Amino acid sequence: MDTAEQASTIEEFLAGLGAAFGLDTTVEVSVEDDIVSAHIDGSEVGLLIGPRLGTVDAIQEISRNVLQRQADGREHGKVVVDVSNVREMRKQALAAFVTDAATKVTESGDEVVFEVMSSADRKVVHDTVASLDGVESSSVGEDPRRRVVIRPA
Amino acid sequence: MSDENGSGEPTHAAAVLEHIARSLVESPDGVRVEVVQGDGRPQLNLTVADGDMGRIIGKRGRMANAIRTVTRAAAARDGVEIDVEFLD
Repeated sequence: MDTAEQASTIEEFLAGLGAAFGLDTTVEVSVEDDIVSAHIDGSEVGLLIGPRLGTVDAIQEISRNVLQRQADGREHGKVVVDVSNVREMRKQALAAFVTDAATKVTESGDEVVFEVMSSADRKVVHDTVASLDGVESSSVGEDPRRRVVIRPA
Repeated sequence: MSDENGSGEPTHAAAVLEHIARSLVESPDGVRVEVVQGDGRPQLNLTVADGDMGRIIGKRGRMANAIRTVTRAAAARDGVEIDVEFLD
C-alpha cells in the first residue's frame, strides 16, 4: 500500500464519519515519514474532540485499525487525527507550561514532579526541557501512572 | 444544527456505528445496526458477518471501547443517550 493509498483510505473513512455525524467537515490528509496525519475542520466539530480529547483519540485509534484492515493486517505506521488543530494547540500550551515550570526549577533549585501524562505528552515535556538550559528531565513510575520530573541540570 | 437534532431518535449514532463497522470488517455487507427502543435508553445492536467480530472488538476490547465512545458522541447530537451492544 503506497502513501497515496494510505492517505485516501483515511480521508475516505473520516469524510464518511463526518457525513454520518451529519456535520459539514473538510478532511486533509498528508503522509510523511510513514506517519499519516489527518486534519478535520468544520463547524460544530467540537463534538469530534470530546472531553479530554476522548473522542478524537477514539477516532484516531479506529482510523489506525481501518488502515491496518485495508493493508491486509500488515503492521502500519502511525495515524494522527487532529480536529480544529486542538492537538497542536494543546501541545503549544503544554510547552509553555513546561517552560514556566523550568524557570521555577532553575530559580528555586527544587525539582518539579508533573501529573501523570500520556507518552505523547511526556515527549513534549522532554523535548521542551531539552531545548532549555539549566534543567533536565526524566520519567518515573510505570504506565499508566508514569510522570515526568524536571530538576536542575 | 441539522433539523434532526434532538429528535430523540439515534439516527446519527446508528449511521456512525454502521460507517465505522463497515470500514473495519472484511464483509461490509454483513454489517447490521438495529435500534431497539425499550423502557430505558435506546440500544444499538451491531451484528457482523461470521469471523468479523474480532476486528470490531479488538485487542482486550480496545476497539469496542473506541467505537462506543464515538457512537455516543454522535448520539449526543441526536440528543439521546444510548447503549451499544456487539452481538456475536
